[in-house]
Amino acid sequence: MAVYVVKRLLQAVPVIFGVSVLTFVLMITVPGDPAQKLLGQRASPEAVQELRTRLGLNDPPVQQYLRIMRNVVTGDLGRSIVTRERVLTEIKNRLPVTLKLAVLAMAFSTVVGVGVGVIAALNQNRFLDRFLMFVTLTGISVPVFWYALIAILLVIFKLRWVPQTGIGDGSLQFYLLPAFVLGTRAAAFIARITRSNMLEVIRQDFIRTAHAKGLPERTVTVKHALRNILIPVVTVIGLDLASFIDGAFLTEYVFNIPGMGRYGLGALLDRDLPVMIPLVIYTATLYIVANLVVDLLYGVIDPRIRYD
Amino acid sequence: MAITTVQPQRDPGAAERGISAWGIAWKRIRRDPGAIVAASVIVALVLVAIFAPQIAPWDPARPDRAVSFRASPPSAEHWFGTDRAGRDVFSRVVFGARVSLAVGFGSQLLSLVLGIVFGLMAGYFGGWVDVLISRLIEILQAFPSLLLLIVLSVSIGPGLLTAYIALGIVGWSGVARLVRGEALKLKHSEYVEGARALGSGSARLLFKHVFPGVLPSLIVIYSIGVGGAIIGEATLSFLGLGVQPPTPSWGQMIADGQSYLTTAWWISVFPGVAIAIVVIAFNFMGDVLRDALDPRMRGQ
Repeated sequence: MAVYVVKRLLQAVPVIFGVSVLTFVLMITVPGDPAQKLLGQRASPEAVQELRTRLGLNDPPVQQYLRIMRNVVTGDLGRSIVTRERVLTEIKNRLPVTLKLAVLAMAFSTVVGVGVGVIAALNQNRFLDRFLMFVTLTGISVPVFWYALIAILLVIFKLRWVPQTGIGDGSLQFYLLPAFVLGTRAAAFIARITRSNMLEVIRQDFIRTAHAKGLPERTVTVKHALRNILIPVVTVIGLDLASFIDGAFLTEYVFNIPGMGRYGLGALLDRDLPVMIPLVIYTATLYIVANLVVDLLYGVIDPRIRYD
Repeated sequence: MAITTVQPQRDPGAAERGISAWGIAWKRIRRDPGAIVAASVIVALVLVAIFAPQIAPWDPARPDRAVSFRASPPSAEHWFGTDRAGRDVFSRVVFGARVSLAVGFGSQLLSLVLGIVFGLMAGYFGGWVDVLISRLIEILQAFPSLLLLIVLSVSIGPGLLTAYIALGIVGWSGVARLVRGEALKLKHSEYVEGARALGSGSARLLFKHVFPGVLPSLIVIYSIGVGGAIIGEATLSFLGLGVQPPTPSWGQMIADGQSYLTTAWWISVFPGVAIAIVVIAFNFMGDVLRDALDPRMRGQ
């Protein structure tokens, strides 16, 4: 298995390299530049040029790219062009915030998603099933930024369950609403996948056998059926990760949460390349590692699966 | 029974009775009340978009002077209220349908074309062409699409055309992956080999024999893709990177009302409801089409 992991990680290197080059090329073709932004619209062209030189923005593109990548490889990450803050410090402050949000949202979406999916499948074509399927269809169809605004309006302004947006003193209560919002789409998605896989499994012979030998419904559902749908469900959770990351960006943006997503979005709008490149690499790596974890989970769920 | 052909004859007597796979699919769709509702919603919205100037009671760009340049709540006069500039929200939602649907349909058409061309090339020719295109697909799929969307919009410059291009480019990799896989499989199938033996050239093989095989899946991807692209366009406009004012778009309207949520909720709420309804209709249609056209993908 160790060989398999190493092989997969090595395969990821060219992809991550490609992603970083793609971002760099796209970003340097962008009109407008951070120097102009720092000095304001009224700055003289000479002043802008001088600042560009000082920031290294007039160096040949290849040299700029190599400078950023050298920082990435050595783990130093350098400084933001716009704020002059050390990128590494910023990430250290923000990563825990995003991870906390993501873990809460993932836990919520998995538990609720699988639960709703199983309930819908066991009531196939009855009213409850149709109702739940409509709710989940709505869940995957609503734009997350709008849903976040509605949640803020209702829970924070009308019901006043949470005093404000943002993370306040960093306690759990501030994370619950954004995690709920972020997790809803994934929960709806997981529920739909769980339902359709459940429907397939509960028609299998071994389920009929389990029923026939008099096992209680609950045991059949949890021990026999549920265990057999874990692989497709876990696969889908892994595949959905990219849109989960997108959702996290927007949720952090609307909820004013100082996490990686807001940081990335800000850097993107400022054309702050020394921040952008490491963040893009981080996101792509996260995505690839998560997919690897999903593949490894297969072996845990189904011990018959071997890696080579 | 393993179903390997793409337009399977699920009704054994259908061939004799002269009903094609498409006919069976059409029958299934017609019998599904949900499909009728979803299709009606889509058709109604297309009509709303086309006849927006006739339907909208007010000028979407000009404030109603009677309410003196401020947000007023929904009333008999202004069904969805007015925004903080005194413009009729209902009329703006009606006109917003134009941008959303145009970008949704148009960008996904671009995705389809790009995906089909690259996918067929990769799957059919193989070798280094395949390696190159496959790596590109992988890179695009490892890139969270919102990030790519924003980078593209910033680099081309915000606007309607940008939304088309950016969303079109973001969407093609999924299509290409599907088409490539299918082309690889069909390349070695007996009927394609037979056609080749009869002297068909590459272009003819691709478009006459391989392409019809992936068509059902593509219709499904297209329907779901349009819903996704409408959300994508709204997201870009919400961040100020999509269609620029004064052209009304739903995402931009939601952003406009964001700071006035507590005092004027209607500015943001109605465009969001509009987005949700359209996207639900397209996603639902996608599900129905998948069940009717492509049994292998059922339940995914």
